[in-house]
Amino acid sequence: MSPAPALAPVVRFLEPHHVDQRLNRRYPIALDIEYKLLRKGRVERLGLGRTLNISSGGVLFEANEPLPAGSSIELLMHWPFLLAGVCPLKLVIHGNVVRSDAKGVAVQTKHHEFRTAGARSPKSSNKVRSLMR
Amino acid sequence: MTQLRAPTTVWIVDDDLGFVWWLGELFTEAGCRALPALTCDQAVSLINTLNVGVDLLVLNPRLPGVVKMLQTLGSSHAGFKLVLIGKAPAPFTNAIHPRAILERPSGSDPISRLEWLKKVRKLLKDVATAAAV
Repeated sequence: MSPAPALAPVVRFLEPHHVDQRLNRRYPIALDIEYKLLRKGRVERLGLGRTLNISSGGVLFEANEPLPAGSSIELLMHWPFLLAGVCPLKLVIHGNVVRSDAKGVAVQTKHHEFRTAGARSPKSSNKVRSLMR
Repeated sequence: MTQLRAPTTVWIVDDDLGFVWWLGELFTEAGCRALPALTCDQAVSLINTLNVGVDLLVLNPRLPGVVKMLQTLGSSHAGFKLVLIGKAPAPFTNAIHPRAILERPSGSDPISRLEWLKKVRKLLKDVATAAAV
């Protein structure tokens, strides 16, 4: 049975080629990130990394150390555009580490959102670095 | 000789994080102030919060709330130009009049940053001169 005419746009939207085209595409983007490895809602480890690619479903990044697969992780990325010297937005990604090897740390995204941010200064990265020492 | 000016502030609204970030970097490199949103509601909220205006809206017309968002921005930021990410679904083709349509990269081959930067620059030039279609 074919769908009602009113549902045709919805059905077309859900057709596999729309989904595949988006999920398969990884965009080569290199930018600094901060990550928090979480365990039972608490921060277990902090670190810095650099993204290799970003897709609608996840992020691949380089880290200084391997991260355990299956871990919950939060990634923080600053939107590259500055407005009057201020980074207006940051992206927060919550997900799981699905792989960590020589190719990088692969994170499957569970939730992501842009948040407004204050002045972008080296402070936040310095804080992470000091905590890593 | 007429000097073509790129739009100042470009909002990219799509739910594919990788594509949003990719376009954001390219529009920034092309001299624009690029800002992202992953949903229509978030776009309206961020536009109001950051108060940076809208010169060009690069929008996925398949997102929920597109028509309401366009109506809202039409009254608060009249005069902005619209580029759609892919063609509008059938119910909206007569209601939405973009200056241009930007197709996502197809297939799974690696994408060239240089080619996409050229594409974005051409898009900005076309949008500056084209009437709504």
